[in-house]
Amino acid sequence: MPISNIVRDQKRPGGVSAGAIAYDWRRFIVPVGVFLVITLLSATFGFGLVKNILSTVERIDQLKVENSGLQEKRDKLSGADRNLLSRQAQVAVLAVPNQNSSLVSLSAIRNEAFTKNVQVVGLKVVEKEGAQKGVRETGLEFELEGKLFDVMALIEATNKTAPIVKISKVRMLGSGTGDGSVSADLSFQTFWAEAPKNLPAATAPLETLGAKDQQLLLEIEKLRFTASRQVIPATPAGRVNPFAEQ
Amino acid sequence: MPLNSPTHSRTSGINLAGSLSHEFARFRKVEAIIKRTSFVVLGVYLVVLVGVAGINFFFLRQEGSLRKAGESLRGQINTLSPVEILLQTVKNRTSLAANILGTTQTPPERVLAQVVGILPLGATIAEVDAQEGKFSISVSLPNSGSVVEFFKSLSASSQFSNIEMDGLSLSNQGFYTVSLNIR
Repeated sequence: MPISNIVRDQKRPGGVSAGAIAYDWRRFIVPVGVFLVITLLSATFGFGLVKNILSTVERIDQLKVENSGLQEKRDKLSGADRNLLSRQAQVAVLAVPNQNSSLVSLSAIRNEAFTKNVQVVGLKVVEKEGAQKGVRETGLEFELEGKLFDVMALIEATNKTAPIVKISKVRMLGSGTGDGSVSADLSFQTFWAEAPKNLPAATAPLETLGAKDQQLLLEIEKLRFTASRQVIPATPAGRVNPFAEQ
Repeated sequence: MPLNSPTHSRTSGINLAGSLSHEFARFRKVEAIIKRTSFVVLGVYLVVLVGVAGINFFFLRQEGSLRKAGESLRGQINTLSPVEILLQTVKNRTSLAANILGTTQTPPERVLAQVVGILPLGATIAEVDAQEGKFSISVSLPNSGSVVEFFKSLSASSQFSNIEMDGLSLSNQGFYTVSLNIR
């Protein structure tokens, strides 16, 4: 604006003229325009981009952790001895079966009683309600007669048979004859649990066998599995096979 | 021209123009700087904006490649699922077995075996009632010497924390019957 205009405007009563204001605005149109462009670009793209970068970085960090876990799991699984695991699984399932083990245990205890010269006078299977820590229980009650040391040997043997049984109660009465004979009521607990139905998520860390598990597996491997899981039918005797070739 | 004439007073007012033009020149200078730097600022801003977009693109690509790697690892883990099933089965069964076997109480058959192990010659079991946390036994002993021997053996054994005598009787046949509560 020429100086004469300013001087002229100052001379006017009432201060600044409309023309001067318009001229002032025109002078600032470029910086204001630039400011507006920057504000608009920041609002539409800038903030969105920065926000996106921050959330992407966060996701990348999560993915890195997840992938490292997956990699570790893959390495552990590919390095595991499949044959050893298979054998350990068989032994472990024999010790704690995945179906009711009462008949198997019953058979095992009867076999042991037979080998120890202990007479089984009576037996009872008692279903127990509920499950504790994922294990289901069945009770077995035996009425036995025999020499004290034979009964003790039977008790000792039941602790070494698979499936795992626990003695919950022992009641003994001496015969009073002085020959060491006793009649004993032994209550056992047998255990079973359903097999795990689902595999954990791929991202879940792999639980490997610790030293305690290995020690327990060694103990379980020592258990004797005396009874079969199925009843083998007796061979036919005294019958004539009608389909046999003459 | 006289000093008090109107022309003279107007002339003294115009003297202010000198200072105005000085401020105006400064103002013009600032205005020019702002105008020039506005474009520079805009340019720098645009470059920064393009840089930020580039960084965003880079991170998005990195995320994509990490996702791809994760999918590949999941596929490999899926192919190894039979091993994982075996491992989970073993782990599950061992933890169940530990729960079953891991009781703090001494099993009743162990206490029984320990007591039977220290019975003197000629002694017989009259009655036993043993369960977790409770063990009571009645032993028939042929003479007083064997009673003393039995008590000595019980006291010497470190297996029992508490022994209470419930009763001591002598039968017509000369047999001593000792009833004990052992923990």
